[in-house]
Amino acid sequence: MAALDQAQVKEGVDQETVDAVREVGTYKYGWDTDIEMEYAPKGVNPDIVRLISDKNEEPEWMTEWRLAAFERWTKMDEPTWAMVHYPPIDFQDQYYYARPKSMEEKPKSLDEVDPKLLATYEKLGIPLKEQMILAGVEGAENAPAEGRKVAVDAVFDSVSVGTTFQKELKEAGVIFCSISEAIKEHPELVKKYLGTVVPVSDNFYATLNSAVFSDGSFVYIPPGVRCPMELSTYFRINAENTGQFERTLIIADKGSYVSYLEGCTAPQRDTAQLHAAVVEIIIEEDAEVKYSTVQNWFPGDENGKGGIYNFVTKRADCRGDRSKVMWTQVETGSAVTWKYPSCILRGNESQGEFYSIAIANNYQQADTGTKMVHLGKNTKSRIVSKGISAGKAQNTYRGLVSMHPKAKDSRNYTQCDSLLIGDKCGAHTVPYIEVKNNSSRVEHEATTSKVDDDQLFYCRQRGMDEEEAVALVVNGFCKDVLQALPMEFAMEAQQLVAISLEGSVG
Amino acid sequence: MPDKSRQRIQRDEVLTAMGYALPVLGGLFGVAYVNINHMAFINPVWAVGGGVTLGWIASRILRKLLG
Repeated sequence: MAALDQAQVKEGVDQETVDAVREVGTYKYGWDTDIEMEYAPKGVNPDIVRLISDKNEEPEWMTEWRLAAFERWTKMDEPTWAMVHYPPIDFQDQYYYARPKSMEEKPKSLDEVDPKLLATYEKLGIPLKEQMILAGVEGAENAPAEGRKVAVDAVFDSVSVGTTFQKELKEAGVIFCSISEAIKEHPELVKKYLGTVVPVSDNFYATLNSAVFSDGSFVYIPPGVRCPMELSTYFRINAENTGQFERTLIIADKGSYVSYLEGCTAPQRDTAQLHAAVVEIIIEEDAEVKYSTVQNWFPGDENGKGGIYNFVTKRADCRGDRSKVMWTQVETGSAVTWKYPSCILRGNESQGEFYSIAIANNYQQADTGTKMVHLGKNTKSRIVSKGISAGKAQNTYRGLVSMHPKAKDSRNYTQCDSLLIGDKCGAHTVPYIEVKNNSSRVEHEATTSKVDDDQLFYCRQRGMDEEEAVALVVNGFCKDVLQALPMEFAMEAQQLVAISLEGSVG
Repeated sequence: MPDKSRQRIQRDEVLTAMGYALPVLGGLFGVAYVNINHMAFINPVWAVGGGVTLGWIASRILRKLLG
C-alpha cells in the first residue's frame, strides 16, 4: 500500500478508481465516525458499575447483581492458559461506557437523528429502510420492506441504537429488543434466565462482562412459535480506547425455532481495544436455535499493530428433551481471539452442532474451539472446525467432549482440519475427550496440511493469479462450514475468507 | 396375437430391468439419506445395504403383482 501511496497517478484516472485500488487488501470497515460522544470516566470501580446501571435506568436488583459480579472480578486472575500472547491489558486505562450524545433521548423523527449516525449505517451497507429504523425513528417499521426480512438490533459502542421489525415480531409473540430494554420491560424473564447458563463467576472476562455490560440483545420465542424472520445483531465499536461489553440472552421456549445472526466491525486504530461479550442461550423441549456469527473486527495491521482483543463466552443450554442448537462461526478479524461456543446437552436426545472457520493472517492469534458436555441420554454432537493460518499467525483449536455417566448411548463426531499458508505460521490442536460411560461413542479426526503446489499450479494454468487460486483452494477447504451458514451470510463469508488472506502469498 | 406376445415381452423386459434398477436406486437413496441426516450417525454401509435390500424386495413385490 505504501508503494501505491507514493506512486504518481496518471492523467485521466479518476479519484474513484484510485480509492478503489487503495481499498484492495485493506480492512473495509476501518473508518470511524466523527460523532460527539458521552463517556463515563476511565477505569472500572463500583462507581462506574453504578453509573452504567444508572444510565440504563436499571432496577436495584440489577445494580446489586452487577456489583456482586464486580466484587468477584476483583478477586480473579486473568487466564494465561490460552495459546495467545499480548501485552498486559490495563483495565483501568480505558472507557467502559460510551454513547453518542444524540442518543441521550430517542429521536422521534428522521430530522432529529444525528446525520453522522445515519451516514455510518449507510457506509456499513445497511439498507435505507433499515437505516431509518436503526436510527431509532418511531414509525419507520410501517414502511414496506423489500425482499427477505431480517430484524436487526444495532449496537453502537455501549448502546443499542434501535431494533427493527419489533411490531411484526410482537404479533407473532416474539420479544426482540435490547437487553437494557428487556431489563425494564420484561424483568421477570431476565431475572429468571440471566446468568443461569454463564454464571457470574464463570471466567475472568465473563465476570467483567457481568459487572459492566452496557447493552446487547434479548430474544424470547414463546412455545410453539417459529420466528417469522431471521434475527440479527450488528456490533460496531467506534469510540477510541473504549471496550465493548455486550450481553445477549436468547430463550427458545418449548417447540420453538429461531435463526440468529451476528456481525461486527471496528475502526482501524494503532491501539488495541477490548471486546468481552457473553452470549447465553436457553433451549427448552423440542426447540431449535441456529446461531451464526461472521466476526470481522479490525485484525491489526500487517505489523501486528492495533486490533481488537476478542474474549467471548458463548454457551447454549439444551434443557429440554430433543432440543437442538447449532453454532456456525466465521472468525476472520480481531488481533487476539479467545472464544469457545459451547453446548450443554442436558435434555435426553438433545443435539449440538458446531461449525467453525478461524482464519488468522499476519500477526493474528486465535485460540478457538468448543465444548460439548453430554449429560442426557442419547445426546448427539458434531464438531467441524477449520483453521487457516497465514503470515506469522498462530491458530489453535481447543475442544472438549465430555460424556457424563448418565449420558448413555451418546455420540460425538469431531473433525478438526488445519491449513497452513506459508512457513512462518502455526496450527495447534488441543482436543480433550472425557468419557465416563461404556455405551457412548466418540470419534475424532484431525488433519494438518498446506496449500498444495500442484493445486495452485493447476489453477494458475487456467488464468487465475496466485491469490485467486489460494482463495479458491481455501473456499473448498471451508465448504462444509460455509454450507451451514444462512444464504446471505454464506456469500459474505466466502468473500471475507478471500479478503482475509490477501497478501498472504508471494 | 403377435401384438399381445410383443407386449408381454416388453413387460417382461421392464420387470427384468426393475429387478436391477430398484436395488440401485435404493442404494442411492441410502447414500442421500446418510448425507442429509448426518446427526442420525447412521453407518453408510448399513444405509446402502438397507437401501439395496429394500429396493430388491420392492422389485420382487412388483414382479409378483404385475408378472
